[in-house]
Amino acid sequence: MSRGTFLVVGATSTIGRCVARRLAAEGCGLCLTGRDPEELAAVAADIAVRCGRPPLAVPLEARDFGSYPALMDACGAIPGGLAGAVITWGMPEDPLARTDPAATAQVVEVNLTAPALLLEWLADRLGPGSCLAVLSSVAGDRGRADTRLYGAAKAGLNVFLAGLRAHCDRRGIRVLTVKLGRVDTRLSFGLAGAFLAISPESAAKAVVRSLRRGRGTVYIPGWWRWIMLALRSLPEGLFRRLPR
Amino acid sequence: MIWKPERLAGWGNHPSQLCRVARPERLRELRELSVAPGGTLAWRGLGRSYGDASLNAGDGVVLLGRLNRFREFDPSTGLLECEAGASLADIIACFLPRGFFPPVTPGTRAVTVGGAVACDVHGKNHHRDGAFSAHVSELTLLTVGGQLLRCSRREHPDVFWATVGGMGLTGCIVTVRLALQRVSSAFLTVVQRRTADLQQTMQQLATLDAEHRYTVAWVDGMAGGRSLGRAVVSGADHASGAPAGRGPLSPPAHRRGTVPFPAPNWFLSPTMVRGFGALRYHRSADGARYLADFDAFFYPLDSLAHWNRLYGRRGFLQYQFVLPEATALEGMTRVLETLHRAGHPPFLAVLKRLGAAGEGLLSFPRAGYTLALDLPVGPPELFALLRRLDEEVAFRGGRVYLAKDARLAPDLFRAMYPQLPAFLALKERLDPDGRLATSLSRRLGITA
Ligand SMILES: Cc1cc2nc3c(=O)[nH]c(=O)nc-3n(C[C@H](O)[C@H](O)[C@H](O)COP(=O)(O)OP(=O)(O)OC[C@H]3O[C@@H](n4cnc5c(N)ncnc54)[C@H](O)[C@@H]3O)c2cc1C
Ligand SMILES: NC(=O)c1ccc[n+]([C@@H]2O[C@H](COP(=O)([O-])OP(=O)(O)OC[C@H]3O[C@@H](n4cnc5c(N)ncnc54)[C@H](OP(=O)(O)O)[C@@H]3O)[C@@H](O)[C@H]2O)c1
Repeated sequence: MSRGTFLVVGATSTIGRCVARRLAAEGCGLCLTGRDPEELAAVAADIAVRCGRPPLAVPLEARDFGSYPALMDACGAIPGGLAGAVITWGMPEDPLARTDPAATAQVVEVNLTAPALLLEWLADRLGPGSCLAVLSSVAGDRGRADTRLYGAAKAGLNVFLAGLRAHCDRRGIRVLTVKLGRVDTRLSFGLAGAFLAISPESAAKAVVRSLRRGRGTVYIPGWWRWIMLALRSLPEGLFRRLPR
Repeated sequence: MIWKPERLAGWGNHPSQLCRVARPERLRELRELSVAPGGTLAWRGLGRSYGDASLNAGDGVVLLGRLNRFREFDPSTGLLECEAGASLADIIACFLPRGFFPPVTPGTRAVTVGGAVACDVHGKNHHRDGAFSAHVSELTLLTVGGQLLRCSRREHPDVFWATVGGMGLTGCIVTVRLALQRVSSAFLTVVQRRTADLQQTMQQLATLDAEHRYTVAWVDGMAGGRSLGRAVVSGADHASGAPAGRGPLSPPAHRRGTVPFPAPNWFLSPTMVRGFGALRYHRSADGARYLADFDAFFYPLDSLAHWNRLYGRRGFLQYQFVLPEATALEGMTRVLETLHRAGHPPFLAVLKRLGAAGEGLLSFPRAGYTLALDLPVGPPELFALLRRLDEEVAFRGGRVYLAKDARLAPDLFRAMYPQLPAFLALKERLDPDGRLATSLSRRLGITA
């Protein structure tokens, strides 16, 4: 991979920090964002020890849309510019707050509005040969009772990414929809079906591999593509009756 | 914090107990959990202690492997500060290419730094370099009150010496400052001697200790009678070069196998075991000298993931004890003879010579010889037999290693660890409500 510098948005997420470590191990420069300052500092220090040069660390709250230009300025100052970005922002819904408008808005904002907005900023600034990878979920492929809002937001994100891909194609920027199956992080901790989960390290490895040469929509692990193909083709009445 | 019920076991797969498990992904979550009201808490790194040291039957177990960031490294001194969930495997992968290696390592690299401190682990270089704690200059301990205590030989030395070897019972080790050693090669020069009996094995270890940084004896556990304790003894030192055609710091990548599921219980039967032990002994030439990469020398067992499953679902015990020089030969002969006579010869038997004890109140290492034996769980009389061996060990001034233990009784534990009262006093001060407990601490009467 062109060594270059990569932006990891949400580098404090479990998958994000594994992605950052992998990129660092490959000799890439890094710009990291996170909203929890203590965690961001911990991740940045870790990366600095691993690759011998400190990354740029920018505190960023996803819903503080006004702060994006400052991030863009910071990235603009990187010599050689950005070779790509990975966006890990994501937030599950709280089943106990289904009728709370603020909670609903927050899930949509973190999973859809914020990535869409930030990607517009980034797409305007990246050059040919660069890559934008966005972590989405197989939950966006089919509506399910327990993840209906999260799934809807991720589905919206997937459609947005397909559109952005078309927009960026002519300019030589690859846009990747990374649909993750279950990864062993706090989002899946304690849920049934843990045996399906892959480690965040192997998820990160696959993310970085697709950053290098992926196209379009990537499923991680790859076999989810076929599972979801089968599940999408089931009539809704049948799908609903599947064991969870 | 999310808690989920899960059956956990140590590396020996015995005992296996239903616990409530949480896994903080960040420091804040760890702090919140340590002050939240609720049941008792036990810490768990990579679960490589063999018995119940990282279990808490029916109560909380906190997995620390995600808090594994490096914080600072000074290449001029080799001083590394990291979170306690960092593993030796990660440290080696990151720092060996830069010419640094852990100062002390157990026989597997799949351990966390926190686990290594809490058990004050020893390596094949104990006679030269002491235990793990000898290379720890400072650690931070999260107490049950939510306070972060910086401990070292100067700051809160009493807490420091209770925490190293303290089996996680004083608080959660959050960060550790560890002095890595500088190496110029990922290879070791190894010499090998074959011995005919236990006395020769011990003598050979003492001789090699004087010349080599690392020494160890793989005892043919199945050989009895006049050959009791015969072994392949090796001495090794970090090499300065590498085999032709290799960079000194780029060892070959080994293919790793795995044991996908527990073997049937008869798999490691005495007959099978006799074969393995004898094979290992006869395959090794006396006086051989060779260059081994660090992986093959330090971590031969790591090449087979989940090898503990070879012992089947019932699991196995590792019986490890140390005896002072003066009583070691007689005591170890007794132990091996007793196991042979009872029909339970050990599969793996590893003998090491230890140097002077450190200051950890519950640290295991002390001057003498330490023998580690793997014994499959199953035979009903095994536990009574081991109790008799505990008595032999205690009587001869030795002790059993808690990191390996699943069955020691409180009376003999007290006899083996004379500094226990000082430890208990400190535990009472740091954790007056007894929030920190493990299945091991309850079994040994350290906590209620
Ligand atoms: C194949 C093999 C070979 C081994 N060889 C050796 C050897 O040569 N020498 C030797 O000394 N040991 C040896 N061991 C034992 C092993 O080194 C120790 O048990 C070590 O502590 C395991 O680390 P862990 O991270 O898996 O800890 P765990 O097994 O998860 O925990 C061990 C203890 O440490 C405590 N603990 C863990 N992390 C923390 C923390 N952050 N804060 C407070 N307490 C904590 C736990 O509560 C528990 O009491 C070997 C084990 C195996 C499986
Ligand atoms: N784990 C799975 O099974 C799974 C499956 C499918 C898809 N995914 C997707 O993978 C991505 C990473 O998830 P993960 O498993 O690594 O979980 P995670 O650690 O919880 O990551 C979530 C990330 O989103 C960030 N975030 C949430 N709300 C935010 C806000 N308002 N402002 C700024 N950042 C905010 C978090 O920031 P902080 O670190 O500051 O809290 C964190 O970096 C997510 O997009 C998730 O949807 C995960």
